[in-house]
Amino acid sequence: MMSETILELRNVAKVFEMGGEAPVTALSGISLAIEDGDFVAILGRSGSGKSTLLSILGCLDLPTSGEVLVRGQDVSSMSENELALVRNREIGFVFQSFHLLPHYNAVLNVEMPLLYAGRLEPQKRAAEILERVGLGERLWHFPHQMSGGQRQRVAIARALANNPHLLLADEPTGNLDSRTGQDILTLFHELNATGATVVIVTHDHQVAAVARRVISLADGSVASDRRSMSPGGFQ
Amino acid sequence: MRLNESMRIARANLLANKTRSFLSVMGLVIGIAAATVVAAIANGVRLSVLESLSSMGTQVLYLFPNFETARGGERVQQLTHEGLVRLAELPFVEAAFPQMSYSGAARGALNELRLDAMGIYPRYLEVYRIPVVEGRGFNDRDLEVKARICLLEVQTAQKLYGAAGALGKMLRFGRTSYEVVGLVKRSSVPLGFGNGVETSLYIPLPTLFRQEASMIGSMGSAEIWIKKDYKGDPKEDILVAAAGNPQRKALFMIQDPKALIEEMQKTSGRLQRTMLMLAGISLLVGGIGIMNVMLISVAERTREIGLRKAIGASSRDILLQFLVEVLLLSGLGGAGGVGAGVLAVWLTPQLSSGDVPMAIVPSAIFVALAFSVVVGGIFGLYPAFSASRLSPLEALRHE
Repeated sequence: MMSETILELRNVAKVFEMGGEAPVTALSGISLAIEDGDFVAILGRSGSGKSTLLSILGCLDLPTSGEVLVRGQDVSSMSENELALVRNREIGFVFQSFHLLPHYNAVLNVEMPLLYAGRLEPQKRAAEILERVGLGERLWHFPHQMSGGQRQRVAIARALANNPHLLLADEPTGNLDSRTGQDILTLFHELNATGATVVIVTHDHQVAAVARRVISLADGSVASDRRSMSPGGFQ
Repeated sequence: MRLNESMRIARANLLANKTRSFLSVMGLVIGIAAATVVAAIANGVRLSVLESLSSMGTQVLYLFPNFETARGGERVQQLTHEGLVRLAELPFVEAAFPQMSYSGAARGALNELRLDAMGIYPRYLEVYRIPVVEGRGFNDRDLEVKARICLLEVQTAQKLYGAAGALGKMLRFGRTSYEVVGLVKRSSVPLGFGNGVETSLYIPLPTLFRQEASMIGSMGSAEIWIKKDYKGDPKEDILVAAAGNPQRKALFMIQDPKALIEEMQKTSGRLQRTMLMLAGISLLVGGIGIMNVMLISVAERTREIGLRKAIGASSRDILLQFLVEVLLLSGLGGAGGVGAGVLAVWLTPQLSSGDVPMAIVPSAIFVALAFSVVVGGIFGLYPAFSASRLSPLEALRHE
């Protein structure tokens, strides 16, 4: 059975005009496809173009050339408001610095994408997801009352709120200690096991090793694309 | 995104930053408060003018010697008894009451002062809005019996009798003693010279006539009541009757209290418009203040805006969010301003001597609230619009 291609990039390039200086090519000739249910790590050092690729995968930015297809639909010519809709419905983005609103508690933070989707009973759904990621005891706590790992979980819960087809995480363990980081990676594993398609962008080999497929990025293009045969990833 | 969700977000955001919200809306609050007070003053003046106009059912005119015709020490021509008779006989005159002013020494319990006194009829107090603050005014019976009574101005009474009070005491004036039956304050209506602005002592005119018999033969001024249905202009005929001779009519002049009050109304109308304009300017300043604070708020919340867009907010969602915030803020500010204005109007009579009439205008309150919301909307539009135009990627990277 062919599983659905959630996200596909066809010959994507991104060039930045730098004013008076020569233009910078951040990405060139990127072609890849993310299948439903997959667990992918995009590995690259800083300067490899992984941040740019991340923005394009997350539909926060559009390529200079090439096509981006989200579940078969080409988004490369969409308006900003149309892209916002795609981000709301199809993609759950977990930012490296979490970007939680400090004056909102956990439930209010997780509610946000639900409200923008016009969803009924947002509070109930928010509480459900927070429980799913293990924060049932901290529903009404504010970010400053939580540890780094707990904030990360709130960010993940928010990303999952609208039941997106793709969960996209930027350096998910970057701001955490190794033990908490391990817990978070385990959470991603669990989520993937229950059907979520997960893409992690990282510079850390050990983090990338938990995925089943590792795409290595260097100097703006794909250096390698390897798949592990074992369900536990490359560990 | 639905409106009540926007409202919830707006309320949460405003509460999160109470101090800033409060300060940003101060200009608006002051502007609205000022406008409320101005409207109350204008309305108060309007009501008191209407009151005095309506209390003058009959047209009343005041005849005075024309002081300007007396030059170089020439004596001013007073109204004579014959002149009074001529006036009373005019076909359109209902009645003519003379008034007399007279300077003399008055002796009270504590000391003696030189006072300006006036012989009047009872209606004089009402027409010239001289309030009786203690005791009573004059009535028709006093006139009938030529009662030897008087009214003293409060501060003069204080000087003459001190803490013991003047009411009920005897005052010596001229060659007679008069019982003080009431204390009055100075008229709040500035109707110009001749109405006894400096008068401290009032005595019923028939009494003064009888007691100071030497004064018969010349009278200061006269109050003339015109018959109700007379539609013509009586002034010319009155002047001629008073002088006895058409060539000498310039010896007298006429003061029309109604016209004066209407003039005062016009002046206060001009004043009111000026004050409203100033209130409007401060509203404008308040609006600019709101806009500036909103701009700062948007700049500070750039990352938040980026995040909201990243998880699915459209430009319209962001615009609506900030617009609702600013409308809520300015609406609350307007309500606060109205509250402050009403409080100021309520407190002022307690603090001042109550000379300034004020009355709250209910419709002005709604106008004020509507204005503040509109001002907030207009001045908040630019910041809200610039917030909605942010690119999520750049906004997220913002410091």
